[in-house]
Amino acid sequence: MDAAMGGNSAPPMPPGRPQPGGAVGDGPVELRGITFAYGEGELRRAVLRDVDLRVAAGEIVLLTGPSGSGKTTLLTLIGALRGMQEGSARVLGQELMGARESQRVALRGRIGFIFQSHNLLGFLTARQNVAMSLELHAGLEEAARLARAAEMLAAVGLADHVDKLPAKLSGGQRQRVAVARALVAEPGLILADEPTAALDRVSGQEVVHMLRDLARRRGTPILLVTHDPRILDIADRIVAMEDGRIIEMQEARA
Amino acid sequence: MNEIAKKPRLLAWAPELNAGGAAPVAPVAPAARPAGFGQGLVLAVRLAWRQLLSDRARLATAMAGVMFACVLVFMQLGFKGALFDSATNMLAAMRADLFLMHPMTQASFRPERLPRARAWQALADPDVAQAVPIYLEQATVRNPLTGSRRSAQVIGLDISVGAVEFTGLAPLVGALQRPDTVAFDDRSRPEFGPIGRLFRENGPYHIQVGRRDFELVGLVEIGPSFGADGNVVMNETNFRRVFSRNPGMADLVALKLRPGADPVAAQARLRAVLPEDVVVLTHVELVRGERAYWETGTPIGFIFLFGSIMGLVVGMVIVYQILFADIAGHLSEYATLKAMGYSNGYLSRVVLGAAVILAVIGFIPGFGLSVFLYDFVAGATFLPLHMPFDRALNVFLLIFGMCFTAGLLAMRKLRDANPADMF
Ligand SMILES: Nc1ncnc2c1ncn2[C@@H]1O[C@H](COP(=O)(O)OP(=O)(O)OP(=O)(O)O)[C@@H](O)[C@H]1O
Ligand SMILES: Nc1ncnc2c1ncn2[C@@H]1O[C@H](COP(=O)(O)OP(=O)(O)OP(=O)(O)O)[C@@H](O)[C@H]1O
Ligand SMILES: [Mg+2]
Ligand SMILES: [Mg+2]
Repeated sequence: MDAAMGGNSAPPMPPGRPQPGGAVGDGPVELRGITFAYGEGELRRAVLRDVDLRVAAGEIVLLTGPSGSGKTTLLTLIGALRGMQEGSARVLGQELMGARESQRVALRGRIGFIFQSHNLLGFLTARQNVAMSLELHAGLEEAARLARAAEMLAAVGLADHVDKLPAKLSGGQRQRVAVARALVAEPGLILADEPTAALDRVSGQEVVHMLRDLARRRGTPILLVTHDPRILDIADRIVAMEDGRIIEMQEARA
Repeated sequence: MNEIAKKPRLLAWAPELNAGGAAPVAPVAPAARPAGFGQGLVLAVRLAWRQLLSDRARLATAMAGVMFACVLVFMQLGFKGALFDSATNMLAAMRADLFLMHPMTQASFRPERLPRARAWQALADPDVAQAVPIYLEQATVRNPLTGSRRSAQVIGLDISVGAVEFTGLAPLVGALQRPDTVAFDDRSRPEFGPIGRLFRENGPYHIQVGRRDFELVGLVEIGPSFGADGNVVMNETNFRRVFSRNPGMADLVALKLRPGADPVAAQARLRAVLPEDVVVLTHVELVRGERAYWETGTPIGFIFLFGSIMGLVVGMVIVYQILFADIAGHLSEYATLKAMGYSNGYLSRVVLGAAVILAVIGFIPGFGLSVFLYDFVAGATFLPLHMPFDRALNVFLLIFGMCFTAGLLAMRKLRDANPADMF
C-alpha cells in the first residue's frame, strides 16, 4: 500500500505532487456553500444546506451518512450530472455554477464514474466496454484503445475475460469491468456511489482495494459514497453527512 | 483545460505489466480534447451497428419492415410507370422528328383539328424533308371469331411518304396503297379476337372496320393506349372512304427532317413562322404532353402515390418502433454514456446511424426482390415494367428519408436517459 499518500487531508498537497489546477488551494474538488433543493414551491425540499467540502489531489475521501442525507445528490452535483442551484463548485478547475451544458459534458469526460450497478453495455465485450471510455478522446488509434483496455482489464484481474460479454461474467467481475472503464482514460477524479452495494463482502472488498491501489499509483483522487463499514479502511478521510449538512470530518488512521 | 494532461505521469494502473516495472506509459489523449467530428461519426455508427447486431431477431424485423416499404414503393412506381407508358403507346410508336398539333389538343383520343395546309407550310423550311398529315378516328373492329365489335383507334396517313415509322409498317407500304386495305396492331387487346394469329396462319383475309370490309394485309406493333384498346393503320385515301370529314383538316402533322438537321433549331424556326393554331413539338414533348394529361387529369397517379405513402408510413412506424424500443430498453446504458461524457449529439448520431444502417441493409434486398418481381409481373401481364436508374435512386432516397425521420422521432426518447438518475 502506498503509505505516503495516506492521512493527509489538510489543505497542503501531499508532498511531491504538483497541484493540477496550478493556483494554491485549487484542489480537484472545491465546494463552497452548496445549497440544493428538489421540487418547486410548496413541494420544495432542501436536500443540501451550505455544504463546504474539498478534496485534495490524490486524496481518497469516503462520504457516509444515513439514507436520505443528500450524499448522492452531492455526488451528482460534483459530477456535473445535475445543474447547480446555489454556491460554488470548482471541479478539476471548472466552475460548475452557471456552466454551459457543453462544459459540463466535457468535464464528465474527465471524471471516472462508478455506479451502484455496473451499467455495462450488454452488446459489447468487457474490452469494448472499457474502450468506450477512450473513444471520447482523440489521439488514440483503435488498436491502441483496445490494447490499453486489455491492459486495464488485466490490472483489475480480468485478463482471461477481456472478450466476454457482461452477461457471461459474475457480479463482481462486472463491477471490476466498470472500475476498469472508469479508470482507463486516466480521469482527474473518480466518483463512486456505493460501488459495493451489489457485491458480497469478499468481492466488494476486492473491488474497492483494487480501486484504491490503482488510483494511488496514479494519484487520482476518489470521492466514494458508502454505507459499508467494511471498506472504510481505504479512506484517507471520512466525511459524515446528516440532513444535508456535513457533520463530521474524520481523519482515517494511516 | 489540460490540467490532467500536464500532470507528471506516474506509471499508471499496472506497472507490473511493463518490463522493469517503471517504463513510462504512453501518454493518454489530453482528457479534455474530444474526438473529431468525422472520427466520432464513424465510432457512433459502429456502436449503432454493434447494437443492431446484438439482437438478430429485432434486426431481421427491422430489415423486413424496410424491405416491405421498399418493395411496396417499387411496385407502386413500377405499375404507375408501366400504365402511363402504355397510356402513350400510340404516340410513342409514331416515330418522326417533329410534330404539329393544335394547341388545344389535350389527348390523342380527342384531338382538335388543324388545317392540313400547315403541313405544306412547314415544307417551306429548308430542313423539313417531308410533312405528313395524320388523321385519327375511333371506329369499331369486328372480332373475326365472335362477331362482336370493339372500338379501336384508326390512324390514317399517306403511307407512301414514309415519314412515320410504326414497327412493321415499312414492308406494307405497297400493299396498303391498294384500295380497302388495312394493317392491324398485333399488340391490340385480346378482345378483338385472334386477328394477328389468323393472319399469320392464313395470310390476308377480310376484317370489318367501321361498317366497311377491308383486306387485312399486314400487322404492325403499336400497343393499346388508355384511349384505345387497339389500333388500325390505313392509307389516307382508304381513310377518307370510311370517314367523311372535312378534307382540309388533319389531327396531327408529322415532319421528317433532312439527315443531320438540328430538330431544336428547326422547331424554333417553324414556331416563328407558323400561325398560332399550331404548336411545334418534338417526339419526346408529344409523348410527355399525352402522359401529363393522364397523370394529372385522372386519379390514377394519386392512387399509386397513396399506395407509396402507405408503404413508407408502415415502414417508418416499424423502424421507429425498433429504434424506440432499443433506446427504451437501454436507457440506463445511454445515461451511463452521458455520464461518461458522451454528448446528446453523439448519442443522437448513434440513433440516426442505426436508422441509416437499416435503410441501407433493408434497401439492398428490397431492391433485389423488386427487380425479381418486375421481371415476374412483366412476364405475366406484358406491362412494360423495368427498373430505370433514377427510380432506384429516388426510392433509395425515399427509404433513406423514411428511416431518417423514424430516427429523428425515436431520438426524442434519448432525453429520458438522465445521467443524474444513475447513482
Ligand atoms: N430526483 C429527485 N427528486 C426529488 N427528490 C429527490 C430526488 N433524488 C433524491 N431526492 C430526495 O432528496 C433526499 C436526498 O437524497 P439522496 O439520494 O441524495 O440521499 P442519499 O444520501 O444518497 O441516500 P441513500 O444513502 O439512501 O442513497 C431524499 O430525501 C430524497 O427523497
Ligand atoms: N452466463 C455465463 N456464461 C459463461 N460463464 C459465466 C456465466 N456466468 C458466470 N460465468 C463465469 O462463471 C464464474 C462464476 O460466476 P458466478 O456468477 O457464479 O460467480 P459468483 O460466485 O456469483 O461471483 P460474484 O460474487 O462476483 O457475483 C465466473 O468466472 C464467470 O466468468
Ligand atoms: Mg444514495
Ligand atoms: Mg454472483
